[in-house]
Amino acid sequence: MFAYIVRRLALMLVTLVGISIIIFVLLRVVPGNIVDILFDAAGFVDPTDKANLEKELGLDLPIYQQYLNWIGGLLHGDLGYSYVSEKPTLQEILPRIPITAKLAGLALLFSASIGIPLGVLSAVHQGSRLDYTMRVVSLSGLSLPSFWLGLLILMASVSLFGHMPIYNPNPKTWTEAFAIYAVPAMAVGFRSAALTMRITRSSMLEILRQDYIRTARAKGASETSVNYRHALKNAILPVITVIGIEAAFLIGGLIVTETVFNIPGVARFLVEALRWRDYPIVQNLVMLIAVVVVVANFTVDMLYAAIDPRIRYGD
Amino acid sequence: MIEARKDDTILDVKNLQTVFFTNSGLFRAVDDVSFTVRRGETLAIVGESGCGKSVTALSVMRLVPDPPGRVVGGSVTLEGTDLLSLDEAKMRDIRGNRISMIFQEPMTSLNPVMRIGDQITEVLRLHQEMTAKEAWAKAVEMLRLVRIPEPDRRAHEYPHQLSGGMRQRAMIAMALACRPALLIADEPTTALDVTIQAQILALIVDLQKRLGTGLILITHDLGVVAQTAQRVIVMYAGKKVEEATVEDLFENPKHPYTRGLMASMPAVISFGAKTDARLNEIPGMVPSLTNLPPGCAFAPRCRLAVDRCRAEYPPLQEIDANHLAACWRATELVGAP
Repeated sequence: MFAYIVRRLALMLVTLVGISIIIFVLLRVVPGNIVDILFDAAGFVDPTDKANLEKELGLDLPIYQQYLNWIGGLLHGDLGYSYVSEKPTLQEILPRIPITAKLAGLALLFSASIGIPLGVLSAVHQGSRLDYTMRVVSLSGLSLPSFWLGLLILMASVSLFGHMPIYNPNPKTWTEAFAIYAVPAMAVGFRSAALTMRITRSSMLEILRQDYIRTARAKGASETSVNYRHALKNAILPVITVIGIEAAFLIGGLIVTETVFNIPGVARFLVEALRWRDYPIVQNLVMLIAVVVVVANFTVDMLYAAIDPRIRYGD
Repeated sequence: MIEARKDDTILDVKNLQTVFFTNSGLFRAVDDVSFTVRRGETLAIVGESGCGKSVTALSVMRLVPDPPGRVVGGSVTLEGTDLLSLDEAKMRDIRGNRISMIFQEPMTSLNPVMRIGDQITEVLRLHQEMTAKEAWAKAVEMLRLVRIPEPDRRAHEYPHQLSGGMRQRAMIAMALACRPALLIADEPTTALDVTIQAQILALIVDLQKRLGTGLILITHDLGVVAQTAQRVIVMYAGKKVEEATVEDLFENPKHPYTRGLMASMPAVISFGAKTDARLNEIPGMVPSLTNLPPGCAFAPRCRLAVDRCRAEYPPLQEIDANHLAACWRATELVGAP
């Protein structure tokens, strides 16, 4: 087990190095850098000014040199300065992380706490009206883009309550906090909830046919105990995989949701930085997202071993 | 209550009827089956696959999957209580407590993500007032009782760490943990190696004697019946076709189907069958339950069938003392097949 974890961690490192190269190259392949963008806006261009600025930002160096500078800085904890605000990248990114983390955490919590129980109910009452209703609702959850859902929620809120609270770092009341965090989280988590529900349902249907479920009933266990204690624990593995993958996909959903709800989180910031070709911000943020995804994958694999005793990561 | 138990009867099944509603129509998986089990007695239910043995057992446990199945008639009385009229909560108090069941497939009948000890503890805590610690100690004691070596360590293990025979022992430990009045063993040895089969069977019979449990042993193996049972009922296409003590049945089977089963059994030395003879098979197949012939369901496969057999279903009659058979020609059949 220990050897396995060490090997996995080494592999994660290799993956991250690969990702860093891809990010770096892709960013430079996109036409135009911040200097082009600035000077395009100005109209008159003095090529020496442009060259000076490029030199100042280190954009005139060969691409491998730029990459090594970035990675070297990263290893020293120096993430460089934002081209736009000229503040240290870390200072720009750090305060935004908790906002997005809260949203993402709430969205995942929402999708698991709604999707799993509803999936169990749907499977236990297979073929009932409840089952059909939930399958239709979940299908709509899968097909509704989160930005559209977000807009619908905004419009509904305005037409029902006359307003929609805008983001505020220190909400004063519970309802305000709910509106600021929970509503966007639900908008972005609805898709995951629907997916989680469908996976839970199909996995439960499979498990409920197993012999050991009949054994549990023959022992005199109640239906609740049969469904949750005996069946769900066996059915949860594919659900965890899906939630793990969703955790990674969430970032995409958050970009639009943060934009729609005007939340100053990491995801929206990334899009803005990309527009300005603010390389230090984009590179480091995407790297951060990559770390989150890789760690989420690792966590899923570890959870597998913790839940199913038959899974042992050996040599 | 005392009246009902005067003759030590623990289970009394009368005219049990279980039907299944399927797309191809309704079929009677168990049709008008009656039997009793006395304290400490072993009743074997014998028949081919699909004859209704397992559904009979599940009907007694009230575990027939509904839909598609349902018990539609008859009564099941356990220790004076009519099980079919109990509500689900009361029935749960009986399952695993007064009646337990062991299933055919030990490889899949235990929950793969629960420790063996926890699975036994669960049944104890469901039915008896015990702390977690007491229940665990009792679970280990049960594992010792079913002769699992190192029960302390095994209790902490998961099913995949145990062999098939060990798992079936664990199932037995679980089934007997609450000292049930009745144990139903549905082909408990079919999935096991031959050497293990004998051990498991011996263990079940030994524990049954020690604990005074009534046992219903469902099997298609007449060798197993001869070794363990006192009484036998033979089922065919959902109906009971013969019932007798094990001696009567082997010495003087009265139903052509029973005779066919015995003739198709390889050399049962203890009953003096010819060992060099070719095995006899029963021609044909078990009829589909959705499409039964009007008369005796066995008639199409029966060498002795006459016109009456194909037209009218033969009633179950007492041919000899305590020997019932449902065959128009039963009285003509004498001696071992």
